Amino acid sequence: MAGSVLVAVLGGTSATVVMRARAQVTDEVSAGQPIAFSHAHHAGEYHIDCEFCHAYARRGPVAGIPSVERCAGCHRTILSERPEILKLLDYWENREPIPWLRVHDLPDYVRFTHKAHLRAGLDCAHCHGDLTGMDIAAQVEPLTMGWCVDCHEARDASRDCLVCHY
Amino acid sequence: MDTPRERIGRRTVLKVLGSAGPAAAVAACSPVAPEKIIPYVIPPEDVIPGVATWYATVCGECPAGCGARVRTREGRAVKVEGNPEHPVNRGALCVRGQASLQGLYNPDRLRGPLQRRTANAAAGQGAGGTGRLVGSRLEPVAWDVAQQAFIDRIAALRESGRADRIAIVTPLMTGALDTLVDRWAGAVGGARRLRYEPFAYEALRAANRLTFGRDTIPSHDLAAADLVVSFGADFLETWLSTVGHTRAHAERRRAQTDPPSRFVQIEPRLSLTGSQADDWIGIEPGVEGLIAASMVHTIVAEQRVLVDDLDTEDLDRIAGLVDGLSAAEVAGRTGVPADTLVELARAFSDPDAGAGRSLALGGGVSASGWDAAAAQVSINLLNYVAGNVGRTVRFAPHAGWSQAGTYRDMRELGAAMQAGEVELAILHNVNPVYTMPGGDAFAEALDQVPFVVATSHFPDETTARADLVLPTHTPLESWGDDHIATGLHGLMQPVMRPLYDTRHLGDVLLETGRAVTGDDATATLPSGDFYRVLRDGWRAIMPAPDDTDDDEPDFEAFWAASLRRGGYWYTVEPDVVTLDPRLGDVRLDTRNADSARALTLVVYPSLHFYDGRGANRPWLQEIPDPQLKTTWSNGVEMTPATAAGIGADEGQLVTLESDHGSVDATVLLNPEMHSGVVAIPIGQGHTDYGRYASGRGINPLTLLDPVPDTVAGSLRWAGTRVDATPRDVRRPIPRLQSTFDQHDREIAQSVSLAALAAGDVHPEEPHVSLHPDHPHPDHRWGMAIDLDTCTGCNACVAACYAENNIPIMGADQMRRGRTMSWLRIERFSDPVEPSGGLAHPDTRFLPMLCQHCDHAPCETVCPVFATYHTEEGLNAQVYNRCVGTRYCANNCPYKVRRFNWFEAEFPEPLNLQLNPDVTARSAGVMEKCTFCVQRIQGGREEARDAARPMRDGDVTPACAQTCPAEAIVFGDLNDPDSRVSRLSSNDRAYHVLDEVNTRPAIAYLKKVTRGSA
Repeated sequence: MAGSVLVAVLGGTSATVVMRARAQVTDEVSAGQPIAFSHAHHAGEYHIDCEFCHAYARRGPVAGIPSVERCAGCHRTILSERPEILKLLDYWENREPIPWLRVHDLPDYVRFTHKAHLRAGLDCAHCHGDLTGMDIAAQVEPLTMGWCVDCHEARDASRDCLVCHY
Repeated sequence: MDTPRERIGRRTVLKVLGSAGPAAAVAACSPVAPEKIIPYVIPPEDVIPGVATWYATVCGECPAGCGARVRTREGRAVKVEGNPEHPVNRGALCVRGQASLQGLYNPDRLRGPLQRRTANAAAGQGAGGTGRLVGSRLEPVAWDVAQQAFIDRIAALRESGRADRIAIVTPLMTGALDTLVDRWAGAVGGARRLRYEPFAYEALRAANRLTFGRDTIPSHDLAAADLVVSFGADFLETWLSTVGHTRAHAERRRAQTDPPSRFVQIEPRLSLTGSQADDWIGIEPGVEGLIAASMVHTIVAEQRVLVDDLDTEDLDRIAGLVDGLSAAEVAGRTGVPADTLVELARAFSDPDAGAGRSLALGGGVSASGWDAAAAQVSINLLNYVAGNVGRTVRFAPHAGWSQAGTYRDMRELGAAMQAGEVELAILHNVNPVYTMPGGDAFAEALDQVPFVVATSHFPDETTARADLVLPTHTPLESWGDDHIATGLHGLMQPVMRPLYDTRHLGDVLLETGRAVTGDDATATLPSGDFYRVLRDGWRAIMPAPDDTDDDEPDFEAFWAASLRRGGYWYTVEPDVVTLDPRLGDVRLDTRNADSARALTLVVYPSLHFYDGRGANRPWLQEIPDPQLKTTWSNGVEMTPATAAGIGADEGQLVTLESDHGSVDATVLLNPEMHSGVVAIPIGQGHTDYGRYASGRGINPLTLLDPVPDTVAGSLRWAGTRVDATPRDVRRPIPRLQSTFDQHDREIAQSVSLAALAAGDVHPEEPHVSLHPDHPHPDHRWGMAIDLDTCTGCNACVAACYAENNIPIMGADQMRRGRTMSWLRIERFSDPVEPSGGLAHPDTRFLPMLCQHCDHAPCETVCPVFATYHTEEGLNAQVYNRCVGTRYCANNCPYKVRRFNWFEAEFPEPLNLQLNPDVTARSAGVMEKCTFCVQRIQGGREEARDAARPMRDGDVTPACAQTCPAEAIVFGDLNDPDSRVSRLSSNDRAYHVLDEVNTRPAIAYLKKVTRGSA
């Protein structure tokens, strides 16, 4: 009895800690991106499909960050004199990857696959929020296990631990 | 490696938490720096992040030429599997092949060129050796500088007309690279070329030359033979083509024909191969040939010769050769009863069965001693008179083995070096300083060579004596091919970019060769880089278009198809071979050398280390030897009676002394040997072969007579006489199984073939349970393991280590029994003791892994539900929920759960091998077999992609995938037609510890005893 109370208390404490930590991380990430890339411009204003840049989402577990080549493919000619674009072209000319900071980060013991979620008919915004309105991408959903499980439950998807943890 | 890092203990953390209160806990969880997410600059064409890309290639661990398929993730190789399309191994790989990744990612690999420089006084401690090596050491140098130093040496020798004083030694190679080495040797001015394999089977080849006029090695069709008699050939371990042999052997065993197939092994020490035998004859080393000759004698005398159109002259010659070697005579000299010899001879040449229904094998390393070639001739004749040649013994027009040099060639090279006749030696991935008996003598000879170049992958005893080290790509980083026999062309492609600053041997040779020959008209080096040379070679391999096809042959299509397939192969009719007219010169009446020393030494090739090259792979060190369960070391095996005779006991050191050397070795008691024999496996006892191999166990080769056999030119592996003197020191070897006795627990069960045929089977009684049954609405994953075909070869164990990121614990932890393996091979044996006549080995190998019980004792005791039963019948272990109480492990009757006492360490670059589909566990967490749940999820994904239900065969765990005997079958027990369902309801099926009523998902199939009592 005493044991379970202790577990509950500790559990509560650690959950709040994680939430706070995540909010701090999100701020830090938004401030620290190497290039002020705007999803609002690309996905909102110009209606570029998410999968045009995040090209692997339908084919594998990882959606993929667009290659520098893909960015440069357009921006060598489009707006190539803007300061942020010049930063990008600098990376491209030096054949260096852009060191983006990760916005949506799941713990290493979680196996998440984009492919299965897209196949199930989920929209990107379901987990990533409405990026068409975001200048700098930020995490809007908590991405906690409880949040995942709520959705799995609502959609009658598997709630077996081994679906995500192995 | 052996001592876990000092770290803040769990208790310390609890103390801090307790005193400082919640504030400390919050502070401890302050956010970590955000992760970076690095995109590709230019995305590679064939990579989808998170999705594996497979490449077909050829396994480079031994000359057998098995096809491999390598799973890569984001540009790094993470798993090697057998190529299902390759005719040699048909999808399986052995334990050494599985561990080839640890060659690629070996932390001790040579990472760039090294050049010997005179060390200054302060840094002189790295120096060693004799002669020119004194006061110098190898230091890193740029490739261009290193290669130029090599070129300058060759050029200087050419200018002074001494280019024939160059020697280049490689292992046995058979493809484009081999041809290139020869051309390079010719182009630079007649360099001496050797293909050195420590296990070159010289006696076997010499006997084939003497008997049939063919200096080569045939293939052996084990699946077609009703009776296999092996004279010490360890054909399931290292002999020639073990994966292919194991598969064929298992196929033959599964076919329960009437009369049953039979396998007889004749050898001094019960080998892993011998453990599979129905009948075993324990003999003193060196009498194998006499036994074969007596069988020929009987067959000829009883007119049972089964050769079509036999020439009476040939018959007379054979009769003349075995004259005087009757069963009675040989019985007197070998202690094997005459009745046994006669019975065996009659069974071997059974007119009712017809010609070519049996197979005699010989020429294993451990059975090659004095007069080994003569013994092989007797075995050849035995196959000949039974009509096996052309049927179960098949000579191809070409076989790669015929190109291998002999031990005598290497001895002669050593003598030439000693005499100052070699001025530049190039050694490529050969380690004669370790593998030659009297290696010190070879080392001294090498020190007489003014300039030694090593182009090896790893630093070893030989590269330590080089002046220049030019490290080359490992097989998994290389283009290449092999041609082990007519009709078999394997194609190797790099499965990833080279890890280090290495080059392809072919390119080094092309560049250096061109640099020294310049416009020399006599030089005949091909143009282009090695990749082009390889492709040009394959233009000749491409089959000619058939006449009906008008299209031009499309080389690009052939090349692409061959790359995808892993090679090009076609069936070949065996050559017709006849007795060689010179056969009459052979004396088959072999005799052992006389010696006053008391014991006979048998050195045998190691299942894990082969000739020693595998010793730097930590998996191969960590996984216990299947027979003795020793890890990280080796010792000298002797029977309890022999040990008692010299006054030694298990774990005690004894000094073994031969006429040629002495070593101190730990005694390991092994009752399954001929009395008067002591045995030591080859492969340990390295002094300079990286962190995992150096300073472990002993190298028995130092005890052998370095003088080669006169006929075959082979090293006389077997039959050296030794004395053993106990020392007052104990140095026990870590062993992971303390008893091989089942103590009546019936863990590994058996049934006789007769009982099986008569339906005398005893199915398990269903037990009543208080627990409700788990529902398994869709799938119930299960496994069936056939103990009759499992040879205990450890391939599954290594595959499991590779697939599931299982850490290595090291010798000290192994001594405490702390292995992390999810799958272990348990060995149970009723020791067979050599009695002279037929004995029946009763060795049962039982792969033990999580049984995924329906009523799992581990699940009910977990306080945090970290382990539970899934709807698909898996016993799940959720690492992120586990708090490490270890109750589950204590309650598991199968002892298959492993606790992470320490944080696992994967020294760079071994970490690159980690399978990204499996979590690497941290300290404090319990782990165990998952039935490769990542592969189950992968199979499910694949089925969903194809919009179809999962089918039998969609999921194959790593252990089942690599099993050369196909003894492990996995599938859905809910599907009544799946292979696993059918096997699980087989008459032989049972569950281990059924009486505990855990209702495992793994059914074992009882071993079948066939021994002719």
